[in-house]
Amino acid sequence: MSNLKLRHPSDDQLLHFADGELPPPQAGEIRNHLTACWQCRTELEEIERTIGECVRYRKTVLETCLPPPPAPWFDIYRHLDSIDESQRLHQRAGRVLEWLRAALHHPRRWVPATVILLLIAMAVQQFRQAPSVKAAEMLHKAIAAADSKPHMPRRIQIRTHSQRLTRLIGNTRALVKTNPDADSLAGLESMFRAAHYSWEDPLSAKSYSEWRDQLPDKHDEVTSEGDRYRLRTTTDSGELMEATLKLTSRELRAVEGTLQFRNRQWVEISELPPEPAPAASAPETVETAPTLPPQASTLKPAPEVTTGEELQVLAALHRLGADLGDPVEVTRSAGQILVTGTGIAPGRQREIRDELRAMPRVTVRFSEPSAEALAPEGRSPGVISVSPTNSRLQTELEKQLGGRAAFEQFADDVFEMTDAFMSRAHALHRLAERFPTDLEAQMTPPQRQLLKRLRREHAEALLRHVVDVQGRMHPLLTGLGESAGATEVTTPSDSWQDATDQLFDEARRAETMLVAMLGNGDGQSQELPAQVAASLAQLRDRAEFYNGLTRGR
Amino acid sequence: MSLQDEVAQLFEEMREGVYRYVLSLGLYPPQAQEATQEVFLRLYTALKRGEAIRNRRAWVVRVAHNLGLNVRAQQSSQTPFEPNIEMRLADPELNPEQSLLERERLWRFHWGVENLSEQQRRCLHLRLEGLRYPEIAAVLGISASAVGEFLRRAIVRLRKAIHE
Repeated sequence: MSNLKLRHPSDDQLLHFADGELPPPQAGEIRNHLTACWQCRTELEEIERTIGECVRYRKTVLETCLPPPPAPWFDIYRHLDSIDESQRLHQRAGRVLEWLRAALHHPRRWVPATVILLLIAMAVQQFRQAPSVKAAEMLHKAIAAADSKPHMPRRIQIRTHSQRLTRLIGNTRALVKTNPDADSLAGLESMFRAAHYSWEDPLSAKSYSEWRDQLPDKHDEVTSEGDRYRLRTTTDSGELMEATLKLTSRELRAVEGTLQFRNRQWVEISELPPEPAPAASAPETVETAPTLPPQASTLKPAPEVTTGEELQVLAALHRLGADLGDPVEVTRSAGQILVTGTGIAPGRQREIRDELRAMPRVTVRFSEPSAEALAPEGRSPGVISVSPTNSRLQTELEKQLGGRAAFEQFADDVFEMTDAFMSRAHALHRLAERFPTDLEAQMTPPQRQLLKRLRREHAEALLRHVVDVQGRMHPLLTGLGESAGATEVTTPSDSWQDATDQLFDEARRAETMLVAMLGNGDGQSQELPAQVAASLAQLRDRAEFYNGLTRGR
Repeated sequence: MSLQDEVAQLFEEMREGVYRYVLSLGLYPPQAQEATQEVFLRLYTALKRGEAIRNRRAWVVRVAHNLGLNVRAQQSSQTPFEPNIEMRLADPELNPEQSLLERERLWRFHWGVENLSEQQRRCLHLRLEGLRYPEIAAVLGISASAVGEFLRRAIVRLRKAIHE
């Protein structure tokens, strides 16, 4: 960059300059250069003109030709109020309960505590007598409250006039029948479906709300009973003529419900207390349908989370492909496995929750990205050198590939393949970090097998992607007089963890080389094609070696 | 200005752009609108929780991007939404004020945009929404220098499209 007075800045530097993305000293140099150089000024004007076309395209095409939003935009204030109200409700309830709890430990405070309780009772009574409390609003808050908490599996009991069954909600594959009558169960399910009431999760504000929302006519009642709110909805439409739902007044959690069908059948649903945590022996049946926690009559203290359990969580995420780029973290914390994610969409969150629901002692928490997560990377876009070698090299590449457009398409394809092998390299690297040799030594043989399977799948995919890149680059590199050549893979130490580190480093090196050659990276030199060829060959050999290691041990 | 006002103002300013960006990810209009609205409620919730979000615009686009891709992934069996801009561009009744020449120019440019690689197009969309390189990099999970490279190549291709 210091030679800008002599050399013309590249179009890349000019674009960075036009976009205000260069550090002040470099921007200053280019500004000075532009004052003196007609050619670069014209070049910059061309860039600005194209940017202007982009802006015009946005206004005249994107803003007019794309379909407008199908409905009017919602009244955001109303929704923000609803969020505020929901938070206030929780905070208030929490504060009062906290205060009451403290007061009950101090006899001198019993009197004010009693007064408070009386006031609450009066408020509740007033609430009970209120002629119209919006059921929809309460359901909305209950759904928001449920969504804000980790979805743990829970047991419910469903009772009809002829049978009683216990279900584990959150695990559609697991259904415990106290009365194992498959036909009547299927009949019950079909009744729910005909009534448009969720059979998968029949005791939730969401299911109640979804059923209620699709009714053309309905009548709601909301009353308060002790520490619960009771919603009752009656309708003349559909198979279900009446439904009730009880929500805890503090957390708005659905704990009880009844359904009255038009064919005079009725169903009562109630929440059962949670099962004690199962014994710590890590089941090795990751691929099979999860089983219910064993019936136990006494509670035992939750044992420490085992490596096997953690491995199963990782395997579950792997099945979803959530270990290849989703910002999901798995950590152990006080007798449980914490799965956290940032900035993950509700749909994806649901998938992850569903996949992990049947696993005991797994807590899933999602949050939005913080400012830190959005902080720009440390790399400065300004450090791009002007390199005549690069120009010569790229001119040569363009000539080989049949022009600039073909070169750019080629580079795009290679970068996409590079992303693919890097995501596998990162996944392997995370496994190696998570399961060091000493931890692996404590695993049971099936656990080691599972870990090996995860490694093998990533390693095989990585090798495929590397072979693709190499195949794509080969004609180009051969045209430049470079051959892949044989490389020598230094044998890593015994552990696959060390081998993973070496593979990861090799993958990163190859990525850097490719970006330098096909992009406009840093530090380009005459030897770049040779370095790319060598780096890819080295990576491939390393990946093949690693695959052998994964298959062998 | 209250926090509600701040989020509402940002919603007012950004919703159309975010909606268009989410459409470009292949979401159908109802889903795109729902996702767009959802993003601003999440922003408000995050701010209420006390999260320090230094750049709210970038945050909104990043969350919209993730949300959009995940909605798309869930509906992988469904064909991605394609807005059929070509038909609308070709219809003189929809844009009576545009001359034939102007329409041809727009058409050429549109094809230029359509022929960009996915990453180039995304970088361009996000830059058009006013995001800086490091912000685009954070949204797409690539480096800022890669963003610069994608944009440079996009500009070169579009220049060709204009002059062809």
